[in-house]
Amino acid sequence: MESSGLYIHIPFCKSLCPYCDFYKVRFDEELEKKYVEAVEKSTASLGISYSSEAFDTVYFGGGTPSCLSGESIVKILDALRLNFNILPDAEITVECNPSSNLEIFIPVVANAGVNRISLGLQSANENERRLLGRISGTERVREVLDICKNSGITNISLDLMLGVPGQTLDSLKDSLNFCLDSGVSHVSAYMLKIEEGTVFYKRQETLDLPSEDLVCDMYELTCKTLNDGGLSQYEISNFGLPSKHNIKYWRDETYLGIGPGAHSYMNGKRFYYPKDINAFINGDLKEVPDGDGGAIEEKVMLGLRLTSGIGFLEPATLKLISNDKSIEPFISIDEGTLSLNQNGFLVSNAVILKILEYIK
Amino acid sequence: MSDYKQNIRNFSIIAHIDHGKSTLADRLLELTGMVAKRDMTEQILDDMDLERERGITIKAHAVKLDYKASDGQVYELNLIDTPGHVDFNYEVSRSLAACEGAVLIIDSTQGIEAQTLANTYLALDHDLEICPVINKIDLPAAHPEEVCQEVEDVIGLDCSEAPRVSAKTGENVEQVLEQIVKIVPPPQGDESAPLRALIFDSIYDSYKGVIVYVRIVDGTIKAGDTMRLMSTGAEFTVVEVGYMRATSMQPAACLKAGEVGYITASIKTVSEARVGDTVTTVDKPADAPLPGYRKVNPMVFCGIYPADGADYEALKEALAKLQLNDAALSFEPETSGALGFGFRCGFLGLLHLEIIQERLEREYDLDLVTTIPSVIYKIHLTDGTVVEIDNPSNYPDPATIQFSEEPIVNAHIFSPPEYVGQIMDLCQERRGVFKDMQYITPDRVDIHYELPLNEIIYDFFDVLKSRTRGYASLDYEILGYQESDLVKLDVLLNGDQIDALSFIIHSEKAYAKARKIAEKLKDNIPRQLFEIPIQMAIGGKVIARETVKAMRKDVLAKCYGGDITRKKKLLEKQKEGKKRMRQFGTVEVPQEAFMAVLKLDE
Repeated sequence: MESSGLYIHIPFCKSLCPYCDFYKVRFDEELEKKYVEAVEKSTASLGISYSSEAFDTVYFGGGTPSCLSGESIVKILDALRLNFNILPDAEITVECNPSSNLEIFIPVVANAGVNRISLGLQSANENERRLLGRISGTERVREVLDICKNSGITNISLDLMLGVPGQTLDSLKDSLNFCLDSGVSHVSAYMLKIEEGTVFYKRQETLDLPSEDLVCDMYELTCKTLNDGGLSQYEISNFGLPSKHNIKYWRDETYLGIGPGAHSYMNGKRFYYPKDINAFINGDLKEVPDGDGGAIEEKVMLGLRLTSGIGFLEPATLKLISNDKSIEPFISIDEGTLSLNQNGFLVSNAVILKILEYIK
Repeated sequence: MSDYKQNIRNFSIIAHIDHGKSTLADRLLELTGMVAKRDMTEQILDDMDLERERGITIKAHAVKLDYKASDGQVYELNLIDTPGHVDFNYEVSRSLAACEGAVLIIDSTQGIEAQTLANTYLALDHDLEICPVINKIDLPAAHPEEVCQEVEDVIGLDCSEAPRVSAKTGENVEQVLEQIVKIVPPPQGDESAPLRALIFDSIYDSYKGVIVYVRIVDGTIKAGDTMRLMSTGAEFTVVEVGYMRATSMQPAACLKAGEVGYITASIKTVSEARVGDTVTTVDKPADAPLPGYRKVNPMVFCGIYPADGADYEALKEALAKLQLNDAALSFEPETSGALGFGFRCGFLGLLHLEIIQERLEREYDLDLVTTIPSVIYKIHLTDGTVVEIDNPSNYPDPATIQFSEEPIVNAHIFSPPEYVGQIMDLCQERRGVFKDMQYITPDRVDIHYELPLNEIIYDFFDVLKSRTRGYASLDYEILGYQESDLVKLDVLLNGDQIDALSFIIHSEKAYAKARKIAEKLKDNIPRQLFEIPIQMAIGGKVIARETVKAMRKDVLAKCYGGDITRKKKLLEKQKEGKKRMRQFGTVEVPQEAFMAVLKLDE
């Protein structure tokens, strides 16, 4: 039987970045304690519901998991291990902000079994980093990479952002080279999307955002540079050694999310917890059903994000798809597997919609 | 016995838009006890619903008011309403022809405006006595005495006795009724002469059939008479005659010369009892009809298509229902390669078109696509035959065309002199031929142009209004046909001709228009997965080109923390957007692109 993933949401940040719209509150030590206890409690009850489930990945995401103390993460990990069947070789990732106190944090969590660190670099250009609300410089990122290595963690991912205000192909090239030079195993490169409710949303007019064409060029440069540098693309925005946890999302596999705003997909049902940290701490957070998962549309929509594509379509459907001239330049069909190429990734929504027309 | 006419007054209310016509009419109804104040608001609010339910207008196009004047006598006041747009000028002229007088409302905060004059001259043309009324005296900005002076200077009407009123508060409105009694002459006519009744309106009622609104000029008519419509010779047995009251129809024994009332006679559509026609009786027919009848024919045509092909039958039914009540609306089925099944519809003018379109959308909840309006062109072919074309799809092969003709109108534009320059520029741009210009008063010029109809059906009136800050008014009548150098302009998207976007245009204008349309389309067709050439062509020769570049990226939503709801929503949104698109060959065109081409202005 297929193993599932565990996602633990840590909704705290020490400072709030102007582009981020994920659920978080400002960090507070009092709250940290209560939150960790609440996670422990909910783990206990969920552990009963999912006692027969095996988990081969654990992912601490946020917010900023590294603004908690390493001990807090360890406490949660202990609770998870107590209540769930976490496989011995599980991939255990923690997202870290370079400006956190990682000198202590990383050795502690590494000792408790954390074997993957995802680090928010965003850009190697200081101006761009500042604009994105990142306090520390690239020097600090190098230090953190050393801390990881010294703690025995070699599976490291750096987050990059494309389309940052003021970004140029040259500055992006610097960021990409920084990633390659640092020898990390994985890079995520997301295009900046101005989300409602963020500082950037309010300031939109004043932001010097790169043009659509330039952002496309940036994407192409990213794919080429990273592929050439040995970090092969395996998903629209991800390169290198695949994240075992994240790949579950795209393969329509199961995962259980814990914490306010966390999403789950278990036993064919999707559900999530409302974005309410107080309710979570008080133990009265009820899961909200989000429909059935696993429909073919969903599998197509998610699976086509992977370079490996999808292999489950009927030959007749593939034939119809291959006859559509309008999407021909964006797809490839090879031995029953349909996938998007790089151009296809850029217009994936439009292409996927077209493809879905042939499936319904 | 001729005394009864002495106590009848037939009048209209004329005014510039927003000078308070409806409000004053409401007050008159209240004052004469036709409706309680309480009911009044309700009626105004429920107007449309009630109209639909009962098929008649509550605040009727005409209403009979009983008024006991200060001289102690009771008068029968017939208020006949008039529509206020050049598309309906003929209807206005028939309504005025049914009256002996008109109440002219002037807003005391605004003074004389374009429609004040245009309407006054129209009323004077019909030899009406005019009672000026100065309205809105309750407003702080009111300056009634200066406005009176203006009316005396510009129009030459004596305003010494003009009531200064506030239709809103009701102040002095009684004086208006007194003035009507005093100034408007009683009708003349001979009730023993053969019947001649002028139809000034007709509406369809689902219970009674067509209700014909008439002004009896001579003779009498009663239930049981066999009536004849003099333009067609069609005969009907009169079922009922009576008076229009504010909230009901009041049957009467007969209608006599000088009176205003209604006739029902099991007439099935309003096109059988057209505005302007004369009603007489078969027993004692009149020798000649009343002057001024003309059958109003549609002058502007366009295709109307359901946005969703499944609504075709619903559209057909809706048009048929509207036609019951609108003799000027015509429609017949047509098919477009791009738009599917729809109807070619004919209208009096662009406002008429807009009204029908809006009613179809609002009252019948239909989503429509409308093609570019056209007039009727006469195409003379080399084999000597002449074809009339109101639909670009039927435009003949240019090689077979000897020459073409287009309709020309005689247009009179009334305006204060300071706008003459702008107006002449506009007419010149619209291929107008200047005829003459007359100062009616030092403040009022009549500019006379001959203009091609296809240059004014579209947005001429709006542009005229905006260039003259609303002061100019337009009146036009069809003059005839004139030879013209016409071409058919086609739109090709990705090589496929979009029949619904073709139109006929003067060759001189084709290039500029083609460029504009291509630009508009470019701006309104969203980028798609491939490059889309937009070509504008005349007879296969491309005269303008734009390109919609291929889309390079769409939004890449992060599937963070397993939240795929965002991604799903994004796809749903995009799918919704697609629904509003129409597929033309390989290209998807949003409705907005059609609208943008239609709304091409300056």
